[in-house]
Amino acid sequence: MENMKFFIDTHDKENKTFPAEITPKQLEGFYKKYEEACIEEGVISLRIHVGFEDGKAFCFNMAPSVEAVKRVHDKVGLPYDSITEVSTITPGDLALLS
Amino acid sequence: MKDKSLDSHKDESKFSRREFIQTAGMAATAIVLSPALTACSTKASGTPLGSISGKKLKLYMDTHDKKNGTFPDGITPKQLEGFYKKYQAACNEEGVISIRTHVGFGDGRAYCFNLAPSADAVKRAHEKVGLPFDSITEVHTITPADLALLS
Repeated sequence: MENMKFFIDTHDKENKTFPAEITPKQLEGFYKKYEEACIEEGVISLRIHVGFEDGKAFCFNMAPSVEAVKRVHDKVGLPYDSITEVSTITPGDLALLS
Repeated sequence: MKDKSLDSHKDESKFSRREFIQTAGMAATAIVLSPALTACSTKASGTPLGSISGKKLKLYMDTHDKKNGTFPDGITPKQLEGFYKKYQAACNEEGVISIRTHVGFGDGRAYCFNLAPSADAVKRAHEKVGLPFDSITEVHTITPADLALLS
């Protein structure tokens, strides 16, 4: 496996990067397509957190590069606000990595 | 009354420590199947399932970005570690459990996951340490494994 990094990407209905009226059921169907695109691009979808009321989503992925995360989104036609490479700084995580 | 409130505070600390130990084991992959997360993530109906000290807890994500002045530009991982201790103390006082904080040092952004009884409690924890934020959003975890665990 390539050297993987952690990325968080963000979506917000105010910026038209989250489908405002989507239901949990519809999202489940969409997620299958998204996951297929992830596999094609060597991206591992760890978790997706959605605020249905606020119309926001936060996706947590492991990927070889930010470009790979971008390609996954392009493949399923999903726009995004930002993709950020992140480190996990909560003490338990830092302790394990040191 | 005073004693009772002290006891409940102690219980929260204990829970929080246990939570860290449980989640730490999976930190390298960040595939967090911790009981607090799974128990307190919510079903599509939005019913909170977890509780601490009798209060229902929900999952919140808050965001910070140096472009909006809500992330201290140039902060180092070491400095952040010191700051995190104060933040965690404020969380304990407000009944908030800090699950994970993810920081993009390059881009100057941060994403914090908390379990809390309300968005206001998360807000108060931030205010106590003088940390501004862009948004606090109640979130559901919709990744299939999480949905499957809860169904």
